[in-house]
Amino acid sequence: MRERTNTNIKANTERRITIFMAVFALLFLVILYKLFTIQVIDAARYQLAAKKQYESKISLKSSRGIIFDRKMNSLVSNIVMYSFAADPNMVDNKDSVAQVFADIFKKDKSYYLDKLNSKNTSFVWLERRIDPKFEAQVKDISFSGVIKLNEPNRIFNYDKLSSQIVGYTNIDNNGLSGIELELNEMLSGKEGYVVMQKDGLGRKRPAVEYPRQEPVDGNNVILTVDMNLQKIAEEELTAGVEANNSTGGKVIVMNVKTGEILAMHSINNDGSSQDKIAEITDLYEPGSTFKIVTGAAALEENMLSKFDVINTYGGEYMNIKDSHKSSSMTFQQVIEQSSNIGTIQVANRLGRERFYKYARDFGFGITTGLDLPGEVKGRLKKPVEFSPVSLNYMAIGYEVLVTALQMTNAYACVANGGMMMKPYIIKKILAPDGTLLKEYKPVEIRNVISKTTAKALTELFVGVVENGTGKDARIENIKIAGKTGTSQKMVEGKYSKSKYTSSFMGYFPAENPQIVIAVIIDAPGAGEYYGGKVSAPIFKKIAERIINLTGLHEFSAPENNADIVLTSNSKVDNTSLNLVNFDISDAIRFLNENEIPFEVEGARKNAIVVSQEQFTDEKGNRKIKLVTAGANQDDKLNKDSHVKMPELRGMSVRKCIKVMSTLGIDYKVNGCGKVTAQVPEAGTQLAKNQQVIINCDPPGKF
Amino acid sequence: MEPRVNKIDLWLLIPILALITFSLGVVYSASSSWSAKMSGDSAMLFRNHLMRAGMGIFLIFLVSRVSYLQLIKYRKYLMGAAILMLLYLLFAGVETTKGAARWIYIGGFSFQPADFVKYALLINIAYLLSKKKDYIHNLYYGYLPVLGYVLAVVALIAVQPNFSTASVIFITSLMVFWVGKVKMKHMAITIASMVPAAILFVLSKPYILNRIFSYQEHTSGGTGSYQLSQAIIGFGNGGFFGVGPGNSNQRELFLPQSYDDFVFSIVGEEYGFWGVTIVILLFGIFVYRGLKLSKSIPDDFGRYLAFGITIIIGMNAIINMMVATGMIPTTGQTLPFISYGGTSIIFNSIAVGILLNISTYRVQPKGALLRESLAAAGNSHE
Repeated sequence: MRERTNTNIKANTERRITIFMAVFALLFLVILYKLFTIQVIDAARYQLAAKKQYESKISLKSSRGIIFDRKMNSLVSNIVMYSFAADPNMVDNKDSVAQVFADIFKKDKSYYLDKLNSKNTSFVWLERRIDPKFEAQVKDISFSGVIKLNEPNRIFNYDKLSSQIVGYTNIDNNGLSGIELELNEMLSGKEGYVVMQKDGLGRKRPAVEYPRQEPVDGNNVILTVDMNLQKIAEEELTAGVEANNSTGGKVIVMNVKTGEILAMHSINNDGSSQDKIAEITDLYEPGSTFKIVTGAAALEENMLSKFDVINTYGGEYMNIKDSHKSSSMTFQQVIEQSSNIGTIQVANRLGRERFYKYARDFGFGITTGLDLPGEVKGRLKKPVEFSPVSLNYMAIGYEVLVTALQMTNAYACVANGGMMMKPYIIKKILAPDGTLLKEYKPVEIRNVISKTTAKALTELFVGVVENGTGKDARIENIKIAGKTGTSQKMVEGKYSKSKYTSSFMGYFPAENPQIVIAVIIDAPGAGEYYGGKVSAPIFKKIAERIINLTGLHEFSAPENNADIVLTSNSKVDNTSLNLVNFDISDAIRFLNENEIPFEVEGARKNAIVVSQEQFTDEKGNRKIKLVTAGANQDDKLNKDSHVKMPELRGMSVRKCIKVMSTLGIDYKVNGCGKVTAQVPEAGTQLAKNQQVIINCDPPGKF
Repeated sequence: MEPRVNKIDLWLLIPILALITFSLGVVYSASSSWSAKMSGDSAMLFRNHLMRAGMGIFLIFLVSRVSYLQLIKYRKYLMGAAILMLLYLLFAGVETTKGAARWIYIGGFSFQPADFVKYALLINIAYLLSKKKDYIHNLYYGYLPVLGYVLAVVALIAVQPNFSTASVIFITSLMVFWVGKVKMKHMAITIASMVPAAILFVLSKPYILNRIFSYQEHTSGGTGSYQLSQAIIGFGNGGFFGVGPGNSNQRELFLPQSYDDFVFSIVGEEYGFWGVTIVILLFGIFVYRGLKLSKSIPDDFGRYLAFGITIIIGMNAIINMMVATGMIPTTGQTLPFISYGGTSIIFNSIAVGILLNISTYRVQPKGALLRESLAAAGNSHE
């Protein structure tokens, strides 16, 4: 009985399982059929849909980080420029769109019609980054299918000041050179995107599960560069290169104690790129400034003192001539007068190995590690590579290739008591909300010579300026230590008799050095070619202006200020004075110290001089009037603080945009030419994100 | 333990190994850009999957060597663990997937109890049906106690809320009931009484309605569910031959997390119609061999268990494919062995291991003697 039931049940169960087999088979076939219709029969339709929606991904631009100088003045920032694009499938009246654009931008109508008739795309650019002068005309443009986009663009806030260091970006906002390249990833942030979903009628349709990625703004960078010092360095180098009719030049201003680059610039009129950072990418034979190696080594090894007498062979020795015909000199005189023969005698007493060791320790033949792209390491021969005369030539700065920065850093090392610091130019990296992401601190590389040696060497360098080849660098009341260098340039494999590199390396105040300045002039062509005649005067001008402007307060510890005389006695030329773009507190101190009467219109603190004019007051005194604009950039980062509307009337549009972006004010400019009206009035407290309106007219109109 | 009588059924094993191997390529392609975005390491999700796939294959072989009859001893503990997990989720669960608590985290591993619970429940109802086969027609002593297990589990999963998994478990249980000779009248009453309960439940959970409405919108030519329309564009974009391994455009932008529920669409886009045909064929072979096996098992427990494991895996595959091709509303069921689906591959592998072990007890046409000895062995547990 039980057997039978079991068999029955079994047969019944097996039948039911067979039914399941059939059901599953059917379901699999239904799915397969559905897939066949999608993937084979209707494939073309879906492939088109895939392509279309792939193209309707719209990227959301991130805002590139701002680059500030050490005092939070923004050297470069972003302005928004308008661009126009179109979806050709959605433009109803192509002809009138083309006509309107052709009228405004003075281009051929067919230029736009061609774009609007593009097939198989839903996105064409009509105009990218239009000139602000067209903004008034384009503001009312509204056609179906024509899209107005905001594209961020980089602008230099101070007429290309520090542009070599900051570098440039391409049209897609990627760094090409300088800090923009070095920190491209940090600065660029992350682009976001939205995906536009379209229904069968081509309407863009919001869907709940849109994948939308918000853009992440780039980080802000603070440099060690001081905008005011940079301005001085750039101006004086330009003037110096011009006055000497030379093909180029380099200047570096560095903080001795920390290795911070305070200013740096090069002029390259020899046909190579104007934008390169020649201070680290270009090599030269330094000439006599390289005697620092022999001098430091001899003193450190206790081989001689400055009073020891050295045979100088009457000024002629093994094909090398000195400009002085003495038969012997003290070591002090050898340095002061820059005697080649004397230096060679000392170097030979040192020997190849020791000479090489000190040259290496001073950082020659190795990159300094500056945080900018493109640094080269130069060439320092190893002792085994020396020819019989190599040591002689290297002692006086030939047969060795160095960068301006290597040379500057060697002098900075002596100025810093023998401790070599790593040069750096990036001070801090801040997140868009102002949080500190990374801070760069001074880094000690190695102790090259002892404090005593460094002091003794500095005394010799002071002698160079007081009694020797560097007299033209002398500044009254300030002790300058420095060394001149003049080297023949290599032209077509031979040392030229007419092309020289003239340099001066100096630091001050000698008692407690704060700042090192290097000035290198290429191929001066106006008669003078000695470093002491060409570069020392440029050094002097830069040093004077820096001392006058800053009083060296910020570079020194407070207890050292007492014995530093702050101002020089040389009269400042009132008429050629240009304080525009200076920090107002620096400008005020400068004017007070030089006893120049002045008036300030606008804030006297945390502001920037936007214009300057001479005027005569009621009593007939000539005065300088400074107009300042608002707060500087660290206030901009602090989102709670508000800015006052500056007086803009009379300014050029270009200047006005510069002021607005410096202050971080959102603005809208109508027209072009000079500012004739502004809303709101000057002095009004601006709300966060408030947009101000500026009307301009060409000068002829009023 | 009984001596092993037959070799394991290779036609059950081969399709599964082929699917797991295939999944490695698909998951890598589908997950790499998402993984890179989330963790900066494009292979992070893939490595997890590779580890689980390896563990799965190991478990298949390990479990296949353990007699399935051992499960009878542990069935109560498995059921107890399952209920505890569901209660834990209910009271202490972490809300993750769109407001529903479906995961348990143990030492950094996330664990979806539903994957385990459905097999624990199956083992128990398969055993009860085989034990009560003589009086299963009795409503109070036969049917209701078995139904009680099912309803408890389904209710606990439904309130997570995970309506679709609850439905799938309920429906597969009914299938096992049907094969297990439950009286048709009892089943009809059960279904009839569940309908109003289900309707009430659906009305109280707006997300289910949303899914159904957006599905309807899709079928009427609109653009209802974003993921779904993107999945279908993915299939279509693949065409007959596919765009090639790793070349899916859809996954980059339009199907985020496609390695999960919509992985079939990536298969379709990259390998084309022939690729999905092979996947369907592999599942077809597996289901056919699994059902054939359950017919040839003399022991009722083994027979119901084999049947249940086969239809759970087969149903999951079919539901996932139907969702991905827009034939039914979104449910969140993984494609067994192909989806990244975390723990599902582990428990599905264990289930396949059990199935393979059952296959060593199948009756060969010639082995008439064996049938008797096995029937004896199968009854020894009673």
